Amino acid sequence: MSSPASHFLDAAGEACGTVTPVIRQALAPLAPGELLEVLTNDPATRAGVPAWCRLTGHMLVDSREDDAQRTRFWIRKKDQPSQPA
Amino acid sequence: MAKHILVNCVHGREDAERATLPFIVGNVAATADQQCTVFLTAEAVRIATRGYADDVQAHGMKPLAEVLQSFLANGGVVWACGACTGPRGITEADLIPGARIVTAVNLVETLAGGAIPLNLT
Repeated sequence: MSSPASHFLDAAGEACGTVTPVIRQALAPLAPGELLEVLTNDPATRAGVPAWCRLTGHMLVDSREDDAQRTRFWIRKKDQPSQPA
Repeated sequence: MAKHILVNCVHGREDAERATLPFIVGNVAATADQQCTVFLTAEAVRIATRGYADDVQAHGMKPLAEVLQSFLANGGVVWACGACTGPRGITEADLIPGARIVTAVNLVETLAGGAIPLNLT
């Protein structure tokens, strides 16, 4: 993914069980449609972040594995606010 | 559609890892637009009391107090089992904001209503 995101979250150090709350917090101030780039260094996020996007409706636009540990995700904030149905 | 996930927690500071994990998973659920209740039984009921979680931290995990507050701030609910708080002398006056003492009837009602039980211990 080469197009720049409007916001960047360095989530390195967050584990699989803590990264998605941090992503949600980072997305909160973004306008619908804005793109957030997220960097993680827990390989478990490669399964967790896509699952979180499926659950919440935020669009996982792209992902890239930088190396064995690090992964970048590009998440587009959905049109509706994230709230329980 | 959001699901209601009910996570059981049975340990207090005697097992910091097992005390914290339900709240980590609960926070993931709450921030994934799911409804989540952490149901405390046995020694875990003490987690719902003021100050108890302040010095509980498992190796490799965030402090329990931090995870607990994040869970509550993200809409999570904490229930403490009345059968377990009673013998320990814990009352509503001892609880942190966002926690309440419930009975087995509340638990059964919630499960009968379709909540998904999860036990991580």
